[in-house]
Amino acid sequence: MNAMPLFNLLWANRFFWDGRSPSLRDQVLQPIQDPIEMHLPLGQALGRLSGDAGYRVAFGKAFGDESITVQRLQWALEQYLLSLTSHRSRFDLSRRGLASLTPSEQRGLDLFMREYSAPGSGRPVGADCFHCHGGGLFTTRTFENNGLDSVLKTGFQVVSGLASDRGKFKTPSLRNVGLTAPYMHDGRFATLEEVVEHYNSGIRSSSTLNANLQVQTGGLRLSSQDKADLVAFLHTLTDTTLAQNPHFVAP
Amino acid sequence: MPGLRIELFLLGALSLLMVACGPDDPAAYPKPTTFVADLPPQGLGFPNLPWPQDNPPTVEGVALGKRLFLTRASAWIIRYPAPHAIIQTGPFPIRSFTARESVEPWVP
Repeated sequence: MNAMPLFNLLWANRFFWDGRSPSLRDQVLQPIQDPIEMHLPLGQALGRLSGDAGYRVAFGKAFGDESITVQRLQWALEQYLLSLTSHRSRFDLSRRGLASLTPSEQRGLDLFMREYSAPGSGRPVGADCFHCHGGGLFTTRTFENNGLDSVLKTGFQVVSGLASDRGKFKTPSLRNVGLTAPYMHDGRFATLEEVVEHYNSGIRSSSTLNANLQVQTGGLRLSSQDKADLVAFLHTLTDTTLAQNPHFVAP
Repeated sequence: MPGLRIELFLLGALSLLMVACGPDDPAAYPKPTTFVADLPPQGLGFPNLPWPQDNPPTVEGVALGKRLFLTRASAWIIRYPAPHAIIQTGPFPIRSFTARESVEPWVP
């Protein structure tokens, strides 16, 4: 699976691509215990932490005494992860009047926000991204089948138990998407150009395909320039202050 | 002998004081400092969601979380190098694959 970047988790409503974790404090415990990740029972994890004088003091400073519990482990990890916020991309600065987009980036934004137009409709071509990636978070925080496959994997069905949720995965934020390759839940696309081409001409039909994608028979019909503009716009969502902030990287 | 009793009393009182102020005593740690989260300004379209009320952020709590999350050298958590583990040194994973999900890794 393609590991997701960690920022703006304050606004996330479910965790993991299939949404199986309902909260961040629940999620943070799972990689610790998972046999193919860190593979450490929580009791042993607490024992190791308790045996380290430095950690005892750190827990004391954070919580008032040196008791190390699962809940405090969750709280500390939750506090750090929730502190990773991203809202200073060039797009954000342009919204605040502190920067401007290039003509290509602006055309990309227009395509991003414009609905699909059927052939012969007389309306300009739209990439129709905003239905799933709209709003300040650049995600509607829903689980969707975006037409990657005809034969569907489990996806959100593992949570809901509904066949109608089969093949649906978390809609990721497009903030910092220029920094988060590869793309899709299984990392099948290496570049943004491949991603755009998937939505332009590669949608595969299935029973749970997103309703907005279902109507796009024949694809989006984006020109080469349209696709280049769209990618140019997506790069304006990169928040370099986040990527370079020493608070967020290993000491 | 009264002098010795006073000395013993003072010694006992001092011992009690040392135990009471030891590192396990809650009083040994000052109240954590409130952490001011870097939240987006109005107008960028972010939903207005509060920080979890039962876990208010503190400078010390965030620092501890960062240490727990990012420290690999001390290996408090990693029993052995997991071949598909995510290597995460900040918000963006360097190697970004793990096999644990309800779907299989995609094979071209």
